[in-house]
Amino acid sequence: MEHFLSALGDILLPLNFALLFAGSALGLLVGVLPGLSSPMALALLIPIAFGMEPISAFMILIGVYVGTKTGGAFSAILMRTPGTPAAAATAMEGYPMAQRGEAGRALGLAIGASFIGGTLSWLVALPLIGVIGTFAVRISSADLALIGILALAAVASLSGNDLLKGLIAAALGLVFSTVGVDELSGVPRLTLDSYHLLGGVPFLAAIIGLFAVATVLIDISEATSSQAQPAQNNRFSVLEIIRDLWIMRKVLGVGTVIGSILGIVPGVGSDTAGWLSFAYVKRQVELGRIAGDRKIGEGVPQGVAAPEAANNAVTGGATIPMLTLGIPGDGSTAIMLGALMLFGLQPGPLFFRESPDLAYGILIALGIANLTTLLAAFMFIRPFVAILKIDRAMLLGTVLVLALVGSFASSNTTYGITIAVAFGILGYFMHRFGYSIPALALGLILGPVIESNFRRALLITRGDYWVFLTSPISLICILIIVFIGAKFCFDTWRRGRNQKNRLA
Amino acid sequence: MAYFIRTLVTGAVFSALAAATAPVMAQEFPTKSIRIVNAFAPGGATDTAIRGLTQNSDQVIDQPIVIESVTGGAGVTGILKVARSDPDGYTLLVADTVMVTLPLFQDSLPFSIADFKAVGVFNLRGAWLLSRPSKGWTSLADFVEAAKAEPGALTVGVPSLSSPQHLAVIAVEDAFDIDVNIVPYGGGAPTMAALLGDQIDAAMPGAPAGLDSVNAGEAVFLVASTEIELDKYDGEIISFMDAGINHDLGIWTAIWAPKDTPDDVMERLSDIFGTMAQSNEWTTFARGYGVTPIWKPLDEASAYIKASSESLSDLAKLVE
Repeated sequence: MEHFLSALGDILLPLNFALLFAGSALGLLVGVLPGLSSPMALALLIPIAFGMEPISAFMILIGVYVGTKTGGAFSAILMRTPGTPAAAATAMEGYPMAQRGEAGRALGLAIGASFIGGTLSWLVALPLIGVIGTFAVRISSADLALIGILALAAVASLSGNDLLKGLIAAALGLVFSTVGVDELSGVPRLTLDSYHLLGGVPFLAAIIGLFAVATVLIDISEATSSQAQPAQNNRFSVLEIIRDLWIMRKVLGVGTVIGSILGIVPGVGSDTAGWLSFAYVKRQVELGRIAGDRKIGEGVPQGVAAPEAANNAVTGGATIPMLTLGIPGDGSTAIMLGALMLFGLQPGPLFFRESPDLAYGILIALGIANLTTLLAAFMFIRPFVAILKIDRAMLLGTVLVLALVGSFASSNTTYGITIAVAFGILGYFMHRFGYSIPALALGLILGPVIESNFRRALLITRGDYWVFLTSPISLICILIIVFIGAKFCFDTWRRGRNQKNRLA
Repeated sequence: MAYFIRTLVTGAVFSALAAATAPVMAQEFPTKSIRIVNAFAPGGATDTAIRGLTQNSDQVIDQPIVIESVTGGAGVTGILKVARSDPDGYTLLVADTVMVTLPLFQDSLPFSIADFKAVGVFNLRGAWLLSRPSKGWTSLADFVEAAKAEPGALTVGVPSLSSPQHLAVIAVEDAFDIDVNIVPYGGGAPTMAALLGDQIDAAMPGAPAGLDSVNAGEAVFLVASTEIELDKYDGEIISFMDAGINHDLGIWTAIWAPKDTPDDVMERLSDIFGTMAQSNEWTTFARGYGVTPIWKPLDEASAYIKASSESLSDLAKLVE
């Protein structure tokens, strides 16, 4: 409690609060612009954040993380182009609403629902962090290894349509993670006899390459000159929005619960949460449980509110495993975890005890970021929507420069630039052939977690594999992993049979 | 294509805007800023120590001291950068015992400790062997007895392989002819987490990492690898020497200059950093952080590092 209050005091310092607000505004902007994503913005910001105190750095990062979740809805509603994958479900009803001339109402609902979802999930996460933190030291190496594998399996199966390609991408990330001096034997692996690689693939430069350089390359190759013009009439009345939200409280609640739970589950991100809560709304409309005569696709307001509440609620849930176990829930938290480690900090069971001010600071900032995002959204909604008309060439040129400067600054060596460009090219080809970039990034960061914990568990038991079956946590993880694999096999078999039937 | 060109042009314009300013030329040392390269994680123990030491540098010299993080390659990138820089005293390195332990375990490194001269050693910490109250061990003798009863069965966590902490466990094994299962955890905090979660029987973290748990009564102190007092700890510190282990294994941090740096510049640097190392600001900061502030300049530092290096390399030979 004492640390909680002192961390709260830190955050309310004008500088830190201003940084959090600036981060939220920047996050909104990044969210609004299709193609720029939260992991990319975070990766670009980390080198800049290095020069700051860790707590100030995380004010910006957290602000961006939360802000992008809301910003993605703007372009989804106005242009039917989700600014972030998280807002994809929002476009389903949001764009029809805009076409009906209700763009303002949809935007207001998205902002309000985001605030409610994010704040509620934060209130749920707050007490859970303490509980899981005390419990986390009991989690053994064997458990951690299996939680890591489960996270990867979940990412691989959910981040794309094709589990096999997801697994290949994740495995590639694992391979990259083995580069460097082996933690358990001291032997250098896959270093190509270059001392540069003794410490492994430089994480930050690789992430900047995968998320920023690759995005620019992808956009250059796919860009079309025709740009949709955003819908007009984006004014709304705050009072009406509050009334709307009150009427939709049940849908908002369901969205928040879905988002919070999916956030805690490693590997499942806010896009899934958005789609799942949209599916819920769709079902409710079909059952006639939602008042009004609109059908799905005709601009059901609940179809905007639920996914937005859900994708913001993910932030509360996803932070729990990141801070207490050192296992990230999605691409963004993976990068923030990387940032913590680059600051020389070790998220894990003792994080709250070793660095209480920063740990509670991050936790509190996550809650307040919902408020600063709300404020920033009201203040900047018009200029940000105007920016949608900007020439993408200018935008991406700027991103490319920031990426290269950032990859240099990450280690103060030009080697960082080489790595960023190499991973940018890799990311481009992965995207082109349908392999998930986040799956590779998660593989890169989960690799050491999985490998060293797996081998450590065997080192402790002197090679006895039963250790992976004797704890309830391990057992549950194994069952879920088997389920994911079995479901994939079954789906593939059924698809094959259907095709055969159709041919026959 | 036009789109592609516009992207490139925007990039080029931004790059041109980022032009650097020219350096200032000099006559008398130090007439420009001194750069200290930290080859390890910003915010880590080395970084925190050097920032703490130089926090009030303006009271000692007029020129600023800049800490630059050059990370990567397990520290080699930054170390190499200083080894290859002009030996004029304006580019220095801050690095700890890893300067000695890294070459012990890695062949064909592109640097050796002979590429550097020590300006001075400015802080020291020990590794502590800790256990849990539930084990019922109150001294090193109890631990040794338990290890003898079941050879190879006791698990001892260390932050990383080939670290001084790892070699400290080797020293205990060697002195009492016991065999324990050494498990590396990738850092001081995870090692302590494993100990407090009863995943392992004992742990040998650096003293700062384990101090809070010992003070809270969650961990039991058994032995320290070197004899240094800690402000935050009231109990008796039994060192390796007290316990009959013939090693003094301190984890030290030093400031280094390239080997061809002229002697008069080395003297001046030693004066500058010696003044900072003996200031109240630094000693208060260091004790608060859990390390012991010391100052061993030039030849004294070299002799100390040589002795430490010999002790560590003897122990490294015992690692199979």
